[in-house]
Amino acid sequence: MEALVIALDDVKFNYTDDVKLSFPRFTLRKGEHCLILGNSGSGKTTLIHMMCGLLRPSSGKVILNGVDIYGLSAKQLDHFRGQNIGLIFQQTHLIRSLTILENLQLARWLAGLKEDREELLLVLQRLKIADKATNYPHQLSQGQAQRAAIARALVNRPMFLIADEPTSSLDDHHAALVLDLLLDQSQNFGASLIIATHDKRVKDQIVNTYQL
Amino acid sequence: MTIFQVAYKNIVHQFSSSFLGALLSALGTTIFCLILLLSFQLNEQLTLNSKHIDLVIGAKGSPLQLILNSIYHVDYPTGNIPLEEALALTKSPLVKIAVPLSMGDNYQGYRIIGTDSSFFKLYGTTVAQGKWWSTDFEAVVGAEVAKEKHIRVGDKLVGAHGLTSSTDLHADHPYTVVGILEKNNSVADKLVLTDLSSVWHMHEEHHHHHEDESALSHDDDHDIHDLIALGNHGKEITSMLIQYKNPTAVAMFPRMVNQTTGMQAASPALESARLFSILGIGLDALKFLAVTLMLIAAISVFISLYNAFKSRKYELAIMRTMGAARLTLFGIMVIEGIYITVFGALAGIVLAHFIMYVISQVDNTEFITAWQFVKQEIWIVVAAVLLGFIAALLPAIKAYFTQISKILAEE
Repeated sequence: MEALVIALDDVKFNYTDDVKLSFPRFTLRKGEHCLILGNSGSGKTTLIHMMCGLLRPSSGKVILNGVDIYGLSAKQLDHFRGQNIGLIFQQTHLIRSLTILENLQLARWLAGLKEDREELLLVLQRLKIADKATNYPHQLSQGQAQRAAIARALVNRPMFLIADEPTSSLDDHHAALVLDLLLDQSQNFGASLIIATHDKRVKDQIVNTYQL
Repeated sequence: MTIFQVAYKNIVHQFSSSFLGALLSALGTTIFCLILLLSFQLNEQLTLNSKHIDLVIGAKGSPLQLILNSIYHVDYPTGNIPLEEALALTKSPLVKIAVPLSMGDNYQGYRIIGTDSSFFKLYGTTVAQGKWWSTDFEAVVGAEVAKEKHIRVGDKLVGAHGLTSSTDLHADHPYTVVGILEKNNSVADKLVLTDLSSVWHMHEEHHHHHEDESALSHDDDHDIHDLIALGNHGKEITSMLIQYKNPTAVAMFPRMVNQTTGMQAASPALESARLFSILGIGLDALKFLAVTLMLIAAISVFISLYNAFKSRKYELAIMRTMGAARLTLFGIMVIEGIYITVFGALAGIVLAHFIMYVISQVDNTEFITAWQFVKQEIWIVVAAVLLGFIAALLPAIKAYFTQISKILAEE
């Protein structure tokens, strides 16, 4: 049991009185990756949001690395999320008014971590976008922006890298590239990768699956 | 990275929508600041010129007019008073200095004042070049007059009859400039000074020439021809400036003058206060306009932040996923609002001082000092901070209560 870094026990979420979602037990061991599969509307995003402390479940517990995250105060939860979870979305959602480097700086500041310029540049180098550090998001190509978003998610060296439909809007070639990147970098930064998707192309790469 | 940087970067990013708010705030501040500066400096100038003058004695009429004419040299005289009577008053033990003034001529718009040496004592001014006058038709000119009209010691000035016109010249009796006063920022800088008797002699003859004419307009108080005329009973002056020996005179002396003589006594302090309260109505209207502009600025900031919120709520939600606390987002929004109004206010203050500078250059007036700052300007900035805060409050509260999960799911 002590090796579990994620444990969702009997978690339920009620959208309305008629629409109630209940989720089977979900666990993840240290160093493992996991795929959350399911069709649109099956509750993948809801599960991920509950896992990240963004959405309080109607019942049940979410234990991340031994911490019952919904037992924390709102501020503690924000802090916990900033330090331990890196989130990636279908769209990149970089802050438009900030440069790529500043987006990374923002992530460190919001998580309450010391700004370490060398470290930030190193992260950008690993994702091969160091030359774009002073560019604004709109000046980047789709692929570069995707890399920047991954860099931002990893910059605090989180325990979990959680991606919600990261490949669904991409063609086969780019989907494969992004997936490789996510696997490589989560390995690189020692993070557990959790991908929620309905994209069948992702299946072959990750053994662990959780079907909704 | 700090909360201030994030807010600042976002304002720069949305420059076009932030700009209107800042502009309105700047305009409101400019007007408000100009009113502050002008009234402060006007007040200071009024006080400076009447600093050593406790009372003015002159012919009956408007006391404000008497003060304006005798101290600030702007309005027309109220009439003449007999020198003898005026001198009798100065014998009072309450009087320290008494300065007779006799006016009615000008040199290219600058008043020629007949007085005696006590004038220099009262205004604390000395001759910078040349010497005092010693005989009739010698004059000492103020520093500004000398500078503006390029007058040097030894030049001859031809005075004109009246306080402003330059048509009726006294070409037969020019004044010789024997001295130029040291600049002392008082009204003395703008006067041409000569001996009382010069003015009398000038007009003895003048009066003669126009005897019939002046007889016709005898009942007209404001006919300038009569003002300097020699009366039947002796010499006359326009007014007399009094400095008291001790403060107790304030209570007794003016009443004594008003009740026992045919002259009136007017207090510069009371009259300038009255003048200011009259001006105050106009200033209040301008202040109202300035406050309205500032409020519109706040509304504009509110609208731009509120509109921007729609397109930004995603970014705000993302920042929450990155670990931002609710209060951090609240803070960012509030600081953005404050930045816009405060930036506007600071720009407005600079603009107001610049306008003062332009006015002082164009008018060449010494009374406006462009880069003097008053304490109330700090309060303008404080008010801008408050307005920015209030304008940003609602969007900030919305940011605070953002349902991150809901917004992220709307993707």
